[in-house]
Amino acid sequence: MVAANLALYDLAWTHGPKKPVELDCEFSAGIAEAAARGDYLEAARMRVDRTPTGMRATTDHGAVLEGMFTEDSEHWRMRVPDGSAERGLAFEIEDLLSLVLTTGWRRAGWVPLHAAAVTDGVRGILVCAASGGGKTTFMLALVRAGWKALGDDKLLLRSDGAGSFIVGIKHMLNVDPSVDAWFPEIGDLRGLPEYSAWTPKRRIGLSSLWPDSPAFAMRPTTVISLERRPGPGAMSAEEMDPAATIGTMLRQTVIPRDPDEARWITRELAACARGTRGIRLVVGDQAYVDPSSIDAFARQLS
Amino acid sequence: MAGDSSSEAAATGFALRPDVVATILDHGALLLDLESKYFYLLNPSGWAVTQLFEDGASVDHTLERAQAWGATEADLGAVRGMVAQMHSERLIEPALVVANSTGTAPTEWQPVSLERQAEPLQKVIVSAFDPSIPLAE
Repeated sequence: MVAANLALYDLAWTHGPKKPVELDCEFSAGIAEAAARGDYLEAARMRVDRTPTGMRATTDHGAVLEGMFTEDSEHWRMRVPDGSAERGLAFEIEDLLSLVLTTGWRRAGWVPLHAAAVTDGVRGILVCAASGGGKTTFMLALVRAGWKALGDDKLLLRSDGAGSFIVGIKHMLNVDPSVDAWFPEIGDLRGLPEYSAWTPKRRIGLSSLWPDSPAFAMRPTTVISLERRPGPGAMSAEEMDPAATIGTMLRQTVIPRDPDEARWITRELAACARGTRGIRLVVGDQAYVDPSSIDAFARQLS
Repeated sequence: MAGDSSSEAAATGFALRPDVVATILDHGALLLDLESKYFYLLNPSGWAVTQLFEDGASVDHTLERAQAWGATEADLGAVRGMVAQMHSERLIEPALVVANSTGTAPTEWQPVSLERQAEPLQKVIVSAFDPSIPLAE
């Protein structure tokens, strides 16, 4: 389960030094430990506390993850109750792994972003929306129009001397099969296995849909706040002021309760918002029927 | 302004709560309350006044500094209102010892503004990577 989950992050790391991260995993009978309080982070099925040497997380069904950090490495120990796999609790392991990964990236100076991104080599669009908000579909529409994609929901952001910089970490997409109504060229994805009971989406590699479309890094020039509005409309766009742009970005990253980390993360988001143009884009049910709509929108970004 | 608790009665001023994080923007600053998850936008004058609370300040001191930076009588009312709002929304808390620092003047004084965003960030999130509201399972 751990290996399969980590395999989703299918891009080789080429954006800086690597560091060792050790993860010991074991099934364990009768884990009876106090639940974490969530004073660092509280997720739907997991709470995380800081400890003097690292972090400790517990899940609703009794899994425990303890991390010990040194300056340049992390060592984690994950204990999962016996039978978790059989009881369909793999998602808790996924949650714990997301903590391992995001912690490692933050400690290396990267802000994890839950957003999609596309670039034409000059312009870089960061697409922001909540889960199920249409990030992947909008990204597919731009890819069909010739843009290249960094990913549809997991990215990393940091700034350097030249401004903000965004990199992709996975090109495995989560695609709703019903998008074949707009993108018949991707074929029927319903034959692929479902990966979660809570979403009809299927996992499929970006390059298997459009072989020339993957991109790996970009400088963001536009931040889009995407809103789906059921109904017959197509696309309508309006400019956002810088405050609204940073507000949009704040909703695309997890901000722990640690003030120092929160301060650093908001500073990175503010730097990104400062250097970009913010656009609020409302898409109706007809937005992707006519491919020229997305072309017309992209021309506005010139 | 002060409440009726003994700690507030003994306080000489206010200080920003430790888990209220400030980020400087091109035009003012953003305050993020890590407890309530609300975030606020301050204009440059509002940020100049708020910075006084980083090391603690009395209300009288903030009014003095605002006046020195160009605030009119009407503007001072807005400063009082902003401090009252920050207190009622627990962005600042009573402090026994305050530095009453000189602070940094805004480039150009304008009436202070502190705008709370309508929707807070999510308190409980999907996962360590996804800050969305968890769906019902």
